[in-house]
Order: sequence, then structure tokens, then C-alpha cells
Amino acid sequence: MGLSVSDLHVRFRTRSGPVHAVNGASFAVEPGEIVGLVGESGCGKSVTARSIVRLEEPGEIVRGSIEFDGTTLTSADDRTLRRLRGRELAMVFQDPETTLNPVYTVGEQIAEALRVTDDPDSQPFVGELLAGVRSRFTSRANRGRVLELLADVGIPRPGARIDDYPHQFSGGMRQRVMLAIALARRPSLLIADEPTTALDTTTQAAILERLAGLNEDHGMGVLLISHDIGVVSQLCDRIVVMYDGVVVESGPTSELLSSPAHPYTKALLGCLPGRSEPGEPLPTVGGSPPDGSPPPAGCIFVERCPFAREACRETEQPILELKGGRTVRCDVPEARATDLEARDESSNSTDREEGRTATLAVDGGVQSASPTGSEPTQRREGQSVLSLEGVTTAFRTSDALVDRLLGTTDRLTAVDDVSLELRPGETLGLVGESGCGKSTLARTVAGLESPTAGTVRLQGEPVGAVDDRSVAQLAEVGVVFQNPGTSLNPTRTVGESLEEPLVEAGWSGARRADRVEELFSLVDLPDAYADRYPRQLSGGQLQRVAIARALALEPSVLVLDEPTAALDVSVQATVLNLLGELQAALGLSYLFVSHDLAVVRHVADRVAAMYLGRLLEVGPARQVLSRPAHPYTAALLEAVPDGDALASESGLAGEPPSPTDPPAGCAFHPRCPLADDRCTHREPTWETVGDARSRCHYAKSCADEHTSTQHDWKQHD
Amino acid sequence: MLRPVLERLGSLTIVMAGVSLLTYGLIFLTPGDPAYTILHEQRGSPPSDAEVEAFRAEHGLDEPFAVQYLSWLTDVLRGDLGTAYTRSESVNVLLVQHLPNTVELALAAMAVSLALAVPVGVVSAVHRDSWIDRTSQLVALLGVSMPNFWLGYLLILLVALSLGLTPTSGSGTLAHLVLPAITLGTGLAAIVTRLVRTSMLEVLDAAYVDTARSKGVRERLVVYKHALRNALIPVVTIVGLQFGFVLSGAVIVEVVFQRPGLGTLLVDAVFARDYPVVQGVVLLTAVAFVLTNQLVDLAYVALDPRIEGGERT
Repeated sequence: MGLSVSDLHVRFRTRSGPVHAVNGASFAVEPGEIVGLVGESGCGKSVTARSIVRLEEPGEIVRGSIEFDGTTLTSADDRTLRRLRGRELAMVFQDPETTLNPVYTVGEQIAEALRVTDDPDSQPFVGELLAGVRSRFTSRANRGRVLELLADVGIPRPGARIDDYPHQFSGGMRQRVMLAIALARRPSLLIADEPTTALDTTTQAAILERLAGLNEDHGMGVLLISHDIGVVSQLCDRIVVMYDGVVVESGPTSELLSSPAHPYTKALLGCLPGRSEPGEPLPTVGGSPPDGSPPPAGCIFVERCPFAREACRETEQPILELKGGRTVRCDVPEARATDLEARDESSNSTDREEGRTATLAVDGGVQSASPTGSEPTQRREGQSVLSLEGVTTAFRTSDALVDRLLGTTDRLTAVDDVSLELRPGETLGLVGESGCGKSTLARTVAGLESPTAGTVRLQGEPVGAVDDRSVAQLAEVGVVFQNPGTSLNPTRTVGESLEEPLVEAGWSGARRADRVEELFSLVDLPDAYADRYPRQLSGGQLQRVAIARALALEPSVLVLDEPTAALDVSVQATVLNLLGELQAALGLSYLFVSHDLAVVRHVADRVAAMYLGRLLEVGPARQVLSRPAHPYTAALLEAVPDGDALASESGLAGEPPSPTDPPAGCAFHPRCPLADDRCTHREPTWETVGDARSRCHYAKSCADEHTSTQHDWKQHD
Repeated sequence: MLRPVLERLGSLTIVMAGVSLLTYGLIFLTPGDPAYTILHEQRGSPPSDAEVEAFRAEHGLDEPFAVQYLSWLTDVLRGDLGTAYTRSESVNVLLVQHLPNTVELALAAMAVSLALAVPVGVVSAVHRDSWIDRTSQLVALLGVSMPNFWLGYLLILLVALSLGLTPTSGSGTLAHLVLPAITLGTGLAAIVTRLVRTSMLEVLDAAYVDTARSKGVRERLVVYKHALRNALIPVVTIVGLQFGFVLSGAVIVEVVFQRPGLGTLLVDAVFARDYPVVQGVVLLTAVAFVLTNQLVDLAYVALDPRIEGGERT
């Protein structure tokens, strides 16, 4: 029984012809099993998930069938579907910002699910409308059950939160509410589509742990859809890998991760920054990703496969059964047999032999693979390019005139007394949970916010906000934002976007044209792209343009605010490689803001951990990320999904306190496993541990404790 | 709850001061001497200079602008809008006499347009690109494009004269109200239909609508409980703003249907250069405009919990 998807084809009709999203996916989820469905964006995994609950519109299922416990979902009528959705198949969507209805209280939204579950066929029209209107004002019959569910998914003080609206919850708490809505149905299968992608790693760890618990307690099956193999491997019994709408490989988690059989699975695993030496170029997947055109006659991966043969082009690959319940869609024994490390070595050695071999990277950029990160210690001399002294950036929480006149507004201190240095040629990784102030710090450095106290110095000169900076000072800092889709003006061609900083700096027309051409070659994009509009480029290409724009005025510092967070792992690999090359070639210093510690470990020379606007630990990446001398850094590290079993008992409990009302003593003490009386009363000063500094009363013992537990991070030392 | 109300009263005062200064200033700058025009009209022959001087002195028209304005403003603050030049009634009395008819018309027009627009907009959005949607879009386009005086005369010709179903002009009964309300409401209905449709289409694409469907909620409830309430939030703003245009449209419609109301009062006063009446009507309209916007803000708070203002955050 359970769920079985066979030969599913889903198509979208668009003006420019049909988009083939799913091209014959087949897999099954047994009752009580946790199955992970992985693949890059556009591989059809979300469409597959939505098809299971029959919410595939505007797509249409053109072939294949989906069966659940004997019911064929693909041909079921509306009533049957509503029944199944209400009682058996629950779905959790990706972005908790948008998946809860903003105008109803969370209590009502959970209660509604309960009412539907109790009697899917009743749903009185007027009664339901009224339930929405009066939800806040009267208690309801289901209140007790709703409170239970809220407690069950780990929302503190459910009684106080039940009548709150979604916008009053943080992202992690909202996703818990979504889980509560799903659990209200006592489903036998939960379909979770990227449930933690929009969340912090610490919150992600908590949500995943909750999912695992629910599976154990209620025997609920889970289909976990994710682009993040780390997340999937942590939780799932089995993994299904999808590429271009087809399942290319499936099997038990540990076997699939340790000896992947399909070339795509191998390539995907190779792109993960956590699997490579820090600073080394990451392996990338050659060729360009599928674009929804009709699948080729032969193997769908043929264009990007290093093992492709002539026969692969013409004949569809059969599904082979391997031992241990694994299946793979590849008929080339050599491709299946070559293991991951061997492939890495062979590709690296060709790079070394041929120097800068140009290969077409995943995002269509011409990528030159040259080893980077060589001797990072050599570029650590001289005066710091950027230094911060006691920088504090605070905002008013209300801009209303009356509040300003009366002085009644609270001040939110986003960055609190931060002192940092960035040395020439160095990458400083700035890490922390969302809302910890790392983006505000980056914006302050870029001059987009002005500090309320303290000094920002560029090349030793104190600078203010953008308006107060000289042309030369403005040229010193380039900024790359997280989402290239929104940081480039959609009404300008990318060439015009690149030219803009040059125009502002007063460059002549001819000089500008030369520089734009140069910039395109710096970021490995063909300069014919100058006339294209942002919507005509892929995410990775756009981020290359954004990097080129930041480089336009030959800065010495790049502020990179989550530059790869919005990208797929394979694209992330090419962008990280590009950043590494540019740093080596141009001697740039990077302030690299990221919540992804695997990425930071790969790129950073030094790491600074931020919490509630304060720095809690600063030091060399190798030391900080292997022997954290602050419990906060340790907790961040533990939350990184790395294929190990969930380390729940030491994970970060709760959420960061409000920055308008920071706790007394050590800001971290309410969530700290080591906290005692001293921490609640006295703010710790900087303690030196090895080459790092930590603001913790127990810095040394914390570092010692983690020396023994964090061995997998230490391997790379 | 008190603070936001005080804040709004504060901004209301500022807006009203601006509006009064502007209307008073504009009238002051208008070419043509009211004293001369009014006396000419009353006596049927050109008045003498002495008579004009006397009229000016009587109504304070010989004072400098600032003095005139301030004395008018102090009277207004005391609740006295002055006396009409051409009639013996005070402006207050005239407004009170004419206001109810206009309010009746405006509300009826709003009711007609909303009763039509919201269901049609929702149905169009739900059945996107169907014949229902195309037809309603086409009708909405016609509705927006038709000038309302033209539609008014058309309705008079067809419904009142040919079919004899309603009186052609005047006021007092429900039958008198039907044609003017339809005339005035059509334009608004067309705008709101398109707005509801666009807003619904956007909301129906939202992830929380899928959440509702994935819960097993019936499609009709998905549309009316989950989508519509969200879709109405932008609609409320536009409807509120449009209320001002309904008032100005009432001026024309009242003239077309010969309905006594603020519109006819204003038009007569403008032709007669009866400035105190013009100022009174404009000021009253401005107050109505501002108050409607305040009401819209309050409606917002009721519809959208994300907007603060009295709600606990």
C-alpha cells in the first residue's frame, strides 16, 4: 500500500510552447517510511509533490498514475480528493511567509483543518464564513485540540499564541503552525516541499527533528522534497534523485550517499562545499541545466555526462536494479562504477595538466577551472583594508511623526559595538542566525546605513554613509546582494546595469565600453550578454553580472551578502569558484555574509559569529569551525545537516530574543547550555583561545569540549 | 486605540486648513468681479460705481486677501459659513437642505456598483478566460469608457421616456433614485469589477490558497473565505478614493436629472458668482473626502490584521 507514483508526466502550457516539467517519474513511499526526493530547481520535484495532492494546476497530468492506498488519485473525483486531503495526505509548502492566510488567526486555520478532518463532506458555507469572522472573539469547541496541536509542534505558550495572526510569528514558528495544520488531519503521509529552505539552520534542525519525532510517534510516512542533500540524508530512510522530470537513481540513504551510481548523483554530491578542501575549486556539473523542452530520445543527462556514449543519445536508459533495493537509470557500467573520489581526482588532474581549461559551467558561463586558495597565509600583511571600531547601528522601530516628537519609539540596535578588521586579500566570513544583524553590518560597511556610533575606516580613512563618501572611497567597496533577480533593474539591459557605476564615477564613453567588456570576461560571461535583460538570464548568470557590477570600479573590498543562498548547489559551486579566482587574480578582500557554515568553511580565512548585533567569537576559520570557543558557534555548527543522526539534545533551543529588549548579562544566556548565574548577571569580556577570541565566561572549556566531538570538521585541518 | 484617532484628527486639521486656503485663494484669483456681476444680474442693468462699492463694503470684499480669509476662517471655525450673496438663506441652511439628496444618491450609486462589481469580479477571476470573464471584461470596458452624462440621457430616453418606467427628473421617491444611481454607479462598477478580478487572480495564485485546498476545504469556501477577504483589501482603498469622484460625478448627474442637491447648488452658485456658497460646498466635499479616507483606514484595520492601529501587535 502506501503511495506509488508511476510514469508520471506533467506538462505546462505556456505561450512559448509546452514546458515538460515531469517526464515519467516513478517511485513509491511505503507506509511509515521517510523518503527524500532531491534534485535541483526546475527538475520537477515540486510539481511531482503537488501532483500527488492534485494541486498541479496550471500544469496537467498527461500520462501516468498516482495511487494511494488503493485509490487512483489521477482519476479520483473532487469529493474523494477532498476526503483524502482532509484525512490522509497532508502537505507542507516551502515558504512559511506566504503559506498561511494572513487574515485569519493561526488558531482558526488549525481549527478549520480539524473541522474538515472530522467531517470532510459537511463544511457549511455560512458557518465557515462566520467561523472566520468570529475566530478571535469566542472560544470554540476545538480550542483544546488546537492548543494540543500547537504544543505538539513545539510552540511555546500556545494559550497566548492561539489568537495571534501569522505575521506575529517568526518564520520557524510559522512553519510549525503549518505542521500543526498538517498534523490536525492525523495524515498517514506528509508531503513536505522544501519545508526548511526558507529557515535558519538552527530552526531547520529543530523542524527536522520534529518531523522525525512525528514519524516515530504516529507512524506517519514522509515524502521530503529538497534541493539540499544534507537535509534529506539526515532524515530519510531512502532517497530518490530526480533530474529533468525523471528519477535517475533511488536507494537507501547510506548506500546512495557512499556509492552513488548515476553520474548526476555523483556530480551533485561533488558540488557540496562540505565535501571539498577549503579553498580548493569545487567540482561542477558541466553543460547547461534542462529548460523544460521535450525530453531527448535517449538519456536525459547525456549532454552533461562525462561518461556519455553514442548509444546514450539514441536509446532511453533502462532502469537497472542494483543490490540492496537500489535502482539506477544508467546502462553504462563504467559510469556506474567510477566512484566519487576517483572522478574528482581525474578531473583535477586534467585541470592541472591543461592549465585553465575552459568548460561550460552549469549556468552557461564559460568557467575556467584554475586552482585557487593557494597559500592563503601569504596575503595577510599590511594595513587592514577595512576596520570597524565600536560600530553601532540602531533604528527607530516607528517612523511616525508623533512617535518622533514624543520620543516614544523603541530603538532597535541591529549592530552593537562591533570591532572588526579585514586584511588585504582575506575572506572574513560573517555568520549567524537571521535577524542577528549580519546584513545590517554589511550594509553599514557598504555605506547603505550610517552607524549611530563608532567608526568605519577604509584604508585607514574614516568614512560615513554613501552620501558622505568621496568617489574614490565609493569605488573601494563593491556590494553583491543575495537575490540577483531583484538586485538588478529589470528594465535595463545587464550592460547598462554594469555601466551605471562607471557613469556615476564620471568615466568617458569609450573607457566605459572597454571596462564593461573587461568585466564580462572577468566573470566568464560572453559579452554578447550585454544587450540582454535580467529576465533572459539564469540565476547563476545574474549573480555573475551582479559580481561584475560590484567589481566595476576596481574595489579592494567586496561585501557579499549571502551571494549563493538563492542558488542551486551546482550553480553555487561555479559562483564560489569564480569568487575564489577573482580573489586570487585581483587581490580582493571579501566580507562574506552567510548563514551556511559549509560555504563559509569553504571560502573564509577568518570567521566572525554574530548574535543579537554583537560579535561573540572571531578567529581563524579552521579553528573556529573545528574548535568553537563559544557555545553559540558550537550550536550553529551542530545545526548543519551533515548526514549524521540528528544531534538534538545539544541543539539551539528557542528563538533569539527581541533586539529591542536584549537580555541582561551575556546576550546568549537564555539559550545557552552552559549558562549559569554568572552569565545572567555579567556580560563576558573577550577571552583569547588559541588564535581566536570569544566573548564567553567559559570559552576555554567550550573549546576543549568540542575538540573531541567535532572530528569531522577537523579532518580538513 | 486613542493615539491613532488623535493622529488622524491632527492630519485632518492640516488637510482642512490647506483645502480652505486653496479654495479661498482660487476664488480670489478668478477673473470677474462678483459685486458687479451679482448686481448686474439682480437689477438687469449695469450698476453704478457707488453701488458696487457699497456691495463690496457690505460683504467685506474691499479688504486685503489675508483679512478676508482670516475673517471667513474664524467664522467657519465658529460654525458659520456666511450668507449667500444671491439668496437670503445662510450657507449652513443651504447645505443642510441639499446634502441629504446628494448623500442618498452617492450611497445608492456605491451600493449599485458594489452589488454588481464584487460578484462579477469574483466569477470572472474564478472562471478566468471563459466566456463569462470575456463578456464581463467587455462590459466593464464599456462602463469605464461611457461618460456618465451621456449614459444618463440615454437612460432617460430609453427607460423614462420610451418605456415610461421612471420619472425623468426630480427627487423624492425610490423611482426617482433608480436612474441617477445607475448612471453614477456604472463607471465605478466597471472600475471595481476589474479591480476585484485582478486582485482575486493574484490572491488565487497565493500559496495560502493552495494550503486551504490541500486541507480539503471546498472550492467555494476556498474562494469566498480564504481568497475574497484578502482580495478585498486593495479594493477597499480604491472604493474609498472613488467616493470623492462619486461626489463630483453627482454634480453632473444631478444636473442631468434635475435633482436638487449639492451638485445643482454648486453649479448655480458658480454661475451666479455666489462665492460663500461655492466655498461652503467645496469645504463640505473636502471634509467628506477626508472622512471617507479615514473610514477606509479603519476598514483596513478590520480587514487586514497586519495593519497596526489599535490592534495589539
